[in-house]
Formats: sequence, structure tokens, C-alpha cells
Amino acid sequence: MYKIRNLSLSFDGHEAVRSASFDIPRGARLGLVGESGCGKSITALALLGMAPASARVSGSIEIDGQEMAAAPERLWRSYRARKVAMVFQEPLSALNPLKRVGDIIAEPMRLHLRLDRRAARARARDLLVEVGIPDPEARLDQYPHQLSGGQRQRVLIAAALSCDPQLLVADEPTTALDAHVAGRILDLLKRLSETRDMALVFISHDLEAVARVTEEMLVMYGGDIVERGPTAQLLADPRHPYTKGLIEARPRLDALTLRADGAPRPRLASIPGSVPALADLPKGCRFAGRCPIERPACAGLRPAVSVLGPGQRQVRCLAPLLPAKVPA
Amino acid sequence: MSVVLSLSGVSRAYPLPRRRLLGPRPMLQALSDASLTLSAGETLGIVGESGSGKSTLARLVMGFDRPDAGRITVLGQDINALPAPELRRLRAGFQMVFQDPFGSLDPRRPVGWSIAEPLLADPALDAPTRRKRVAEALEQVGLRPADGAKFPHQFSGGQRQRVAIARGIVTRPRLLVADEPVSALDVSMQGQILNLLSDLQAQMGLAMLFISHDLALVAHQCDRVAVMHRGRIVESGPVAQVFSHPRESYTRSLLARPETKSADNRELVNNTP
Amino acid sequence: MRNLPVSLWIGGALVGVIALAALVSLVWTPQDFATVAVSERFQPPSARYWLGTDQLGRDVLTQLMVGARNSLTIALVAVGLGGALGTALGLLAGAKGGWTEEIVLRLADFSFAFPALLFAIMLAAAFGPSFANAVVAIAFINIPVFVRVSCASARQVWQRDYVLAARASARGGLAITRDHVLPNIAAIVIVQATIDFAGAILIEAALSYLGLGVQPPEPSWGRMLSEAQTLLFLAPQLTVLPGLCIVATVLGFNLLGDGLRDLADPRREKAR
Repeated sequence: MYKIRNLSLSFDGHEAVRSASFDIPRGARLGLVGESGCGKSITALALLGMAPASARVSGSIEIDGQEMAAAPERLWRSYRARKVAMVFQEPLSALNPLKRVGDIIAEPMRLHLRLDRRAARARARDLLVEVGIPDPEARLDQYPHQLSGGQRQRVLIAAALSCDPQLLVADEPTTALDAHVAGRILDLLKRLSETRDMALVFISHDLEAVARVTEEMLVMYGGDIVERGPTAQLLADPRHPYTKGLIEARPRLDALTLRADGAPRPRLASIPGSVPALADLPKGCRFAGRCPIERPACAGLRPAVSVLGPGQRQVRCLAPLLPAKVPA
Repeated sequence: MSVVLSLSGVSRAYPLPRRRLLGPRPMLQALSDASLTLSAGETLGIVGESGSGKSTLARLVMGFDRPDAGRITVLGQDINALPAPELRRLRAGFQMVFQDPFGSLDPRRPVGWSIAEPLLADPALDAPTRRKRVAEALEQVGLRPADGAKFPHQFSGGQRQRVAIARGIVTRPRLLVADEPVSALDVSMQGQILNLLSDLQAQMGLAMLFISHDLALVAHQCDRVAVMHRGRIVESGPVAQVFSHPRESYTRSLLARPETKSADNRELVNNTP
Repeated sequence: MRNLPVSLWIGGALVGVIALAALVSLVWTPQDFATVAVSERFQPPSARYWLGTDQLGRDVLTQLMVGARNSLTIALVAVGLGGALGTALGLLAGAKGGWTEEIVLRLADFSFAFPALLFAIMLAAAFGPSFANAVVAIAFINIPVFVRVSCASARQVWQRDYVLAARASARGGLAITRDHVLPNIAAIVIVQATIDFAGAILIEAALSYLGLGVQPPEPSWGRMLSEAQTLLFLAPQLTVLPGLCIVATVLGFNLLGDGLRDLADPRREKAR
């Protein structure tokens, strides 16, 4: 459905995203993982034709066979809401405080689907049920500030779903929420993708959240997709040193609770240094300078993508890690 | 081991905006009847969700705010009964590291100035001594003494948090309050900062109050934990014990959280938060 | 440099020209500003009188230059005084909060509600029209704006974590205000002062127009306007020229203020 080929986004000649290529098949759930400044959010915006005006876009974004990378805003507008919709990080600022919930959800349907007021309201009510909001009839007439954080995010999701998009892009949709509310929103996104056969691009820095929602993931660092593959495999057996570092930088609750009282605190693995600014990224492998297994050639040479095993796994590294020995 | 911090029966309520004109002012009980102790070299985790009262607890311990009831004793002194000049002298003994390394450093001051600020209260320290102490603190947190001349915006988030930690330890305190010290940082930086806190604690024998919403971090970093819910400490004890055999249902619900286990979808639809 | 806002350039240029004229008038003017020569009245522009003469034979360019000096001096002293006092009160209110803040802000509201020109007229009526009274009047009406702006910005700074860190470092309210709050609100206060400067120029012109500001023989744009208004059809340049000066100065300071505001906007800093 979506075919992205050699997509690059640059600011003042610095590539924030460097020739990214990936597909989003119908109904797929794709995780886009990385830290701040890795290019994941701007990639997501490009999927809606909403990359900042200061960005130079090159490469190809094909939606259902239609080339969109250089498409005029008018064409993009006819695609948004109906083909692709977005859920933002901060639900309170993404919802107009002066509008009732019902109007927020109905507006895109009235605009794009030309539904009349009653039909749009009835659909809005159904959508609230679908996203799991109790007593939808009463909620339709409430304002965003009267809802809890989790409910606001549900309303935002309902509005995004209103014109039955084929792809939903969710950019860090749960970072503003408490953990247990966040978990339910994640499960909701997953369920909606399954029941609607709707593709989901889920953007997050949180590996646990990505593991919970997606079946395939892309790991981005410094504008490069450094590793991709089925989520479970990739997390269990990372082949790019960055992915491995990211996984090990987080303490794991299950392992650590076993630490006996008074036992010495284990050290956390951590990636040395910090993410360089856009202008200071190395020319070759973006991870050069922080990489524990770096070779002399890495900083100057952009590694090619290696395909690992039978198909799905890819890694952009000169010397990918060996497979982890998984106990039988 | 010597007790560095103790709270007994501490409560604090904040007034909320009136619902109606001239109506009674509703109160939010941010903290009720909290008691705890913390000894030298020990890390106590305070875990809870937003609004559970953990930040109020930090504010009260730091003396930014006064409790309505109860006693807060730092280094043997009741900080709310102490005359202002003596409290000022005591302050070198307990410092804080804030969540947001962008907001906790004055953007218009070189970081060396900010790190030296806690030393200004001590008239016995002259400028060269302060400079020496700042350089030491910078080295202790893995920065170079020359970095003191730079401004906060010249550092990455992780480095800024190192600067904030340098300010926190420059007075050689006995207690460090760390309020979500890594939650604003990139994941790959978090390990560095947590390891740094562990190292400093071991070197200096610091007592640490580690406030976080993140159970895994608390489990890793803390010796004991107090679980907070709606302004109350609902359960406390050694981390291994509380997290592997939680007594309270609230603690169990925190631990059974989606982050670690996937919940049943059906339950989601009927049980919306 | 190329990233400076356009309004800053234009405003700076306008203000720069006027300020330069005022500065030059301190050491040199084409003619003496007080010399009246009825025989030379209504002269057209010439090598001797670059912009001609007025109804009393005084050199118009000289009058405009010294007028610029008088206007800018009054505005500078008045906004300086009012701004300093207002900012000090605002900082106090912002630091103390509670009742102090309430009282200071309500007082500011009260004097805000008082028409500026009316107050100046009252002051002139009570103490006689003079340069000093014009300064006092303009300074007074400038206070509440600065109180509000500095109090609101100071409140924000007081809530920042670095102020909490300073409190944890045993620093007192005065030290925090001096070391953290003032430097962080300075940009906002300077922008406000620049914009208020334009207002002060306008009020000075109005007061002088009414005969309550700068007293003769000292020239002022406002009085040039009022003296020449009956001659509007006979010698239009005598009203148009001081009018243009007032417009250029007010516009210049407003643009400068806008430009400085854009420059001080933290979002701009992040974009770099």
C-alpha cells in the first residue's frame, strides 16, 4: 500500500533522514523506534505529506501506486483522513478546547465524507464505542477538558478513525499518560488495527511499548534505518550494536527483582557519549564514535544493508553482531 | 547506620479553585500521614503515578513548602522548626537533582556559576576555593573542569543532567533527592546517569531519595521502596520483598502493568480509565 | 547578522537617524534655535535654511533637531524612571506573591485605568507646565505597564526548577531576584521599554501641543505643530515636517520593539 524508496529529508544540507526505504502493507503494524533526533517523527510526518516546509524531500513515497513525494498540497489533503490519519503525542494540545467531543470527531466526516449533521453524530457515537469510551451519548456533548488524559487520547483516536483511514500514524501516543492508562491505549491501537485491517505506524522510544503493539520494527539512529525485522526476533536477538545498546540500557523488572536484599547493584549497560546534533553526524555509519565494535572504516563509509537469514531481517552495519545463542 | 532523613506523620493539602463563587474551597490532600526513614548510603525509592503525591513529598523534604502536620527531620534537625539562618547552613547537607535538565539550569549563567551557587551560602569559602570545588565536582560527574565556562544550551540532555548532579554534590551533602532524574533523557543516556548516581553514592556515602514512576528503574536503583497512591504510602519495604511479594492490591496492580504483561483486551473495553 | 528580523533593521534605521540628529544638535545646529528674525519668515528651503523658516523666521531644521533632542530626552528619562520603578515593584510582587502581589497589581490596575493625558494635564494644572512635570507625568503613567509585565514574567521565572535549585542552595529572595529573575526577564522589559518609548514620544508631543510640555523658547515637535496649525494652507510644510518626525519616531520605536521581541523569542533560539 505504502512504498517508500530512498526517502531523504534534509535541512540546510544536513540529512535528518537518509535514504529510507520500507513498505507498509495493508493491515501491518510497524514500529519506528529511536531516540530524540533520530528522524522517526519527521519520517512519520512525511507519510502524511506534512514534513516541515524547510525540509527538502527527495526519493519516492508511493501510495497505492500513486507517487506522492512531490505531490501538491491539494492532492495530499484529499489523502489525509481518508487514506492516512495521525494521532499525536499530547492529546490536550491536539484537541481544540472550544469544541465539543462530538464536533471534533464529526468534523472530518462532514468535510471529507459530506455526511449531514445527524449521520455524522451517529457515526461519532459509534466511534466512541469502538474506542472504548463508556456512556458515549453524554461524552459527545462534553469538552476536552472534562475528560481524563486517557479518554482524550481515545477521542483523538476516534477522530483519526472517522474517515476509515487505511493507515494510522501514532507518534508517541502514550508518553503523556500514566503507565497503566498508556498500556490500555496501546492495546486499543493494536485491536483497532486488527479489527479494521488498518495499517499502523507506531512511533516510540519505548521498546516495551513497541513490543506490545507491533509485529515488525525499524530502528532508526541519526536518520538511518539501522536495523529492521520482526519485533520479537529483533528484541530477542539484536544484530546492530545500537539496537543492542538500546535494549540493554533499560533495567528489566523481572531480572532485577530477583536481586537479593543487600546484594550489590549491577551496573547498567549504557551507550557512551550522546546523540550528536544533526550537523555533527558522522558521514559514514551514523553510530560511529559511540559504537563499541567500531572499525576504522566505519566513520567514513556508510555500511550497506545486509540481509540476515531467510529474508525479513536487515541490518545496516559493516560487522553485524552474531546471532545470540538462544537456549533451546 | 545513621538516619539522615525521617518523616513522621507528614500531611499537606492544597486548596483547589472554588467550584462556585463564594462556595467552599475544595482541598486536595496531596500527602497524608507519610512516615519514612532513610539512612546514610541507602537509596529509598518513592514510586507512584502522577498525582500520587511523590513530588509533594520531594518539595516538603527540600523545604520548598511546609507540611500542614507532621515532622520532617533532616540530619537530626526539624527543618520547619529551624530558624532561617540555621536552615540556610543546613541546606548544604541536602540537595536535589530535578527531572528536567533543561529547566533546572539557568540558561543565562555558565554552568560553572550554577554549580558554584550552593557554595555561595558558606562565607568561609572564597572564590578560588569555590572554583576548585566546582572543578572537582565536574570531574566527579565525568565532565572536564573547562566545561564550567559553557552555557547549558551547549550541552546535550545527558550532559546537562551531569551538570545538575555536579551542583547537587558540590556541597558534599549527606542526602540527595533525585526527582525522576532520568525520565527526560534518551534511553541510551539513562544507564550512564544511573551508574553515575550509584558511583557517587558509593564514594560519598550519600543517602538518596529516588523518586520515579518507573518500577524497573526503582527496582534497579533502590534498596527499599515506598509505594504511593493518592497521597498515601500504601506499602514499603526492601525492594526485592515488595516487588516479588506485594501485600497491597495497588502494588500488585502496578506490577501487573501492561509494560510487563499484556492485559486482556476484553477487560479494556469495559474498564476504561 | 543576516538572520535579524526586518523590523529590527527598519526600526533601528529610523530611530538611528532621529537619535543622530538629536545628538548632533548638542554640538552643532544650522542656526541658533531661539533666534527670531521676522524679516526672514516663511523662507523657502535654501543653502542657508535647508528646510526653510517658520512664521517667526526661525530655521525649521534647527527646530526639528532640537525638538528631537527634547522629545528623546523626556521619553528616555520618563520611561527610564517609570520602567525602573515599575520593574522593581513587579519584581517585588513576583517574588513575594500573596497579598503583596495582590496589592501591587491592584494599584497598578487603578493607575492603569486613569487616562494618561488627563493625569498629565492635572499635574500641569497643579504644579504649572514644565519640562520636569512632563517627565514626572509620563514616568508615572508608565509604571503600571512595567509592573504587570515584570511581575508576570517574574512569576514564571520563580516557578522554574533553577530557582528551586537556588532555594535549595540557601539563596535568599533578593539574591535570587538579582541573579536569576532579573537577567531572565531583562529582554522582555527592554522590549516593553522600547515600545513604551514610542508612546512617551506621542504623549510628550500631545502635552507640548497643549502647551503643557516643553516650554518656549525650547522647541518641540508638538508645539511646532500647534503653532503652525493656523498656517496649514499658507505653509503646509510647517505642520507636515514635525508631524512626519513624530510618525517616524513612533513607528521606528515600535518596529524596533517588535524586532527585539522576535530576537528575544526563545523559539528563535531553538531554531538555530
